[in-house]
Amino acid sequence: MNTELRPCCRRLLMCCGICLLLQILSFSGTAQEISPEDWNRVKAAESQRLDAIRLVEGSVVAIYDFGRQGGGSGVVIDASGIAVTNHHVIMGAGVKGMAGLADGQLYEWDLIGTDPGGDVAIIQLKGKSEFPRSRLADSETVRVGDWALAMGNPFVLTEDQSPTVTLGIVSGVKRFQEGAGQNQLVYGNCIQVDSSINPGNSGGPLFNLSGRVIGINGRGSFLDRGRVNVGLGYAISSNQIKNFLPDLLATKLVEHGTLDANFSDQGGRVVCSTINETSAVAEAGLELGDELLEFESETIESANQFMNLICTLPVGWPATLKVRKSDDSIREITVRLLGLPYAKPGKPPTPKENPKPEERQQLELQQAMYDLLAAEPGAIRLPEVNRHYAKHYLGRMQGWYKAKLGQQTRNLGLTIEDRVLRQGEEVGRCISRLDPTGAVRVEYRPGDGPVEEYLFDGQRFAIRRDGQWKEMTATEAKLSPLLLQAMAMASIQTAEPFARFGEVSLDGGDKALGRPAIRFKSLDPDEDWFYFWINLYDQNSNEAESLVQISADKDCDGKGRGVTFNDWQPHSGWLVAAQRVVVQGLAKQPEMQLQIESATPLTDPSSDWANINALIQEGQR
Amino acid sequence: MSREKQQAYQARVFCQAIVQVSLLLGVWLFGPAAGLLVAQTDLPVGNALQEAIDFGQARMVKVIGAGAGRVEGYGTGMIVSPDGLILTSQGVFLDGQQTRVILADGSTHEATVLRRDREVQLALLKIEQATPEYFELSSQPVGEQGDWVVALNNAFKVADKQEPVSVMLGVIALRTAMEARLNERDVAYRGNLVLIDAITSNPGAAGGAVLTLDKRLVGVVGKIINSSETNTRLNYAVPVETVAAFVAGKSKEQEAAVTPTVVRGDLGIRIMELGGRKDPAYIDRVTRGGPAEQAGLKADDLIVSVGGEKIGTVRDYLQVAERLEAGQEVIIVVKRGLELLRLPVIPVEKKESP
Repeated sequence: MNTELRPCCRRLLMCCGICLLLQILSFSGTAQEISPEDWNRVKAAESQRLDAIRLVEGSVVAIYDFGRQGGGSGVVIDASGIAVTNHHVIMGAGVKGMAGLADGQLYEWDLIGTDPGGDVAIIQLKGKSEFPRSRLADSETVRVGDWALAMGNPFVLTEDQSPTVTLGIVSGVKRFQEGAGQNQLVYGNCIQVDSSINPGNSGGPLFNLSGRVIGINGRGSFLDRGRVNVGLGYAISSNQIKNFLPDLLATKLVEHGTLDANFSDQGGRVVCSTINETSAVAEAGLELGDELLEFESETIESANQFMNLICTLPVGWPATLKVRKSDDSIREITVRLLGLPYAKPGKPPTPKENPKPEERQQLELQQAMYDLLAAEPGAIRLPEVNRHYAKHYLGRMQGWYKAKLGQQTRNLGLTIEDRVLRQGEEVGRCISRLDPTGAVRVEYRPGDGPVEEYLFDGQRFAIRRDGQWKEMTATEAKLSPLLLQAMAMASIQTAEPFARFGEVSLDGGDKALGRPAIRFKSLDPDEDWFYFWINLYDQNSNEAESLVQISADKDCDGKGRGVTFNDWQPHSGWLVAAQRVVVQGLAKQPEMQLQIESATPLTDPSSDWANINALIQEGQR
Repeated sequence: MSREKQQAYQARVFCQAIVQVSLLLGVWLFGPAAGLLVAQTDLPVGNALQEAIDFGQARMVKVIGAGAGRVEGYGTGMIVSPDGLILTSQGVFLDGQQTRVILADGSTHEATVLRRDREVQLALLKIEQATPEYFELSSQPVGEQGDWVVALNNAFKVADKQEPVSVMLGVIALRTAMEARLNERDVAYRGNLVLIDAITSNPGAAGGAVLTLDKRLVGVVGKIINSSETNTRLNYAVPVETVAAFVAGKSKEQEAAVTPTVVRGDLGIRIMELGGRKDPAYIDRVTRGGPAEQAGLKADDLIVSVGGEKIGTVRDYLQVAERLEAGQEVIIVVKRGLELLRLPVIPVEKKESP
């Protein structure tokens, strides 16, 4: 055995020698040795990528029309099956269709709302109570060079409904791509990627490697060579989608916003070059030649930048401009944006004589699409669906409160003592009593004046002036911000928030606390309304469906004013906004600030302190 | 040596041999892939990509000239000197009355066209502006097959004024030569090119920069080369050494004559030339006592690569051999029988034939 081994061994030795020599040479040549750390980094990067794909794959939608002829993509953003896609995808499909998910199943979908101007549409998937979903990222944090995962159904490739994945990097941010037709399909402030974007990717998500949606892929630079990827794809930013989401959920055909004034670059300054003299912004004080310094708190350095920003805002958005006037004074102007009109659609498709049944269905859906586009923009098209989403998002808000409260249970009332400040100076104290039934009693003790008291027993309102309790109508109560702030905090922690003010619907999109918000509207049988606002995201772009504002007036104007709510904190089973500010007007000028001093459990039942009849009688005695 | 020890030693040597052979094969068979992995580790974890992009963006310019019909009136360019030399691609857009250069800060400058070259498809512009941040132009090739690269360019004029140009990511796919081919659309470009897998063959992208992640310029995005038959395009860069020679104002002949520091190298190999276009590069003879013989190369070895560049044909070999420098070691991989051999060779000074 040994004798057999020896020559073999010699050969091995030689071989080994040569190998060693060559090995050294080869490493001193082109290839570098891969260190264990490098290998680990490669593996870590790879597993991060695979994890991200696994995490989000289930939420990517392949969108078809009923005939399963054409196709696009989408992404589920709410477990109830709300998905985002492109307007141009549903334009082809109609108001209903089929959707494929990575689970291999097909689901029906309905069109909810659409925005032809920014190429965004919302559809509702049906057939399951809980869908896998993805979350929207803060697209402002996206940097050139970031990895970008595009997912969707290019060329309608998928047979088992699982999405195609293409990886690339962000090639540019804050890009502008011209639209088509009248104010349609404009991509402002969009994200440019070299991830392959092909026909069929439209409407699909662009993810970062944390699996958050940074954009919705919608177009590429296809003009040169026909419709294939040429390395330049564009995605609508997730922040633009957040701005439009509430209006889309309200089942609207949404318009984009305009100031009815334009700006141009003039010698390094951005100057108002055209203005409609009858527009709101002109009435608010903008003039030709004014220099634009800031728009929506962003310093403006070019007219393009302004154009980019305004393209991401819907009609009705309260936009704030800071301008320098010709006399060098600085002025801040806040106005609601006007709508940019769309051209009415051309003729609806003329039905063939004796169409086949499946053709007839597709024609009907296209006719419905035509009707939708011909309808009045901004109108709530489907009131029942709208109320459904109002309930749904109120439910999400309550879910957020529950999560924030954690294990704390609420079976007692709460007494909140606040310092009341005007322009930073304490002017009095406010004591609010909250009851789990929704009843509240508020006592305002100014430093220099008589005590004011307000009461809500769950149904009726009362006020105490000059020592005497008197009943108030709901309309009067809606103009009492101190009563409303307490009532709001108690109300949202009951089963049906703001039900006292009438039926709640989703009025549309708005801005509150500087962030996109859903504006809800309560309408009572007397046609008297009340508004409240819910943010869907906090300042770190985490989902946080919290109450942020209430007012009897859409613009917090007039006697109504408004109250903003910030910094929700748990106290003895209740959530209390530590900062409540009574604000005035669209610009939300602070009028009075309530700062929490203490919050203690309240043992007395509301029947003891909120009995309106007893209190009124007592006063009359 | 006792018997047990000897056996243990044999076993160890055997194991080492297996490891060495497999490593060796690994390097040979998966060389480019391994290189790619090494480079790839820099990407998701480090800031190398971000830094390379920032470095590049500061040195990129947009060139605006005259459009003509369907031909775009713009291109990309880059700063190549501290005193305002701008390199861009040769094109119709430079034919107008006025050519403007927009720097990264958005400032616009009138440019004069200093030089244009049809063969390398490059143009050199000058602006009257100090440009302290510029690309160094290496006279030697930069980047190897499999290296990550970023391509910065203003395809489709997506970026306007001070907006940063587009960034694409890819790897170096191949270094090769552009051959003029019959029955294809005439392509003006002659010379070597670096193929990349980032999609850069788009209107306005020519003149863009291709950078390694350690901020070295690999080359300049070349003009669109389109196959009229298949509508496919080459994504490529004009290599930096070609660019450097152009900027230095040297033609190929001049360059050969006026490079005193670089002495051309000779391997002492005669290659089998049969005159065909795709003949494999077999060694016909090695000069006795020459570098090739000393390194162990033999007649009938098939040359597979020289200095990391793949050799497919005699023509490939001749091109690479042309660029060798005396005294600079180069790894030559040859196939002998069924074996692949990797041999270091130090070229000697080339005696120019009269």
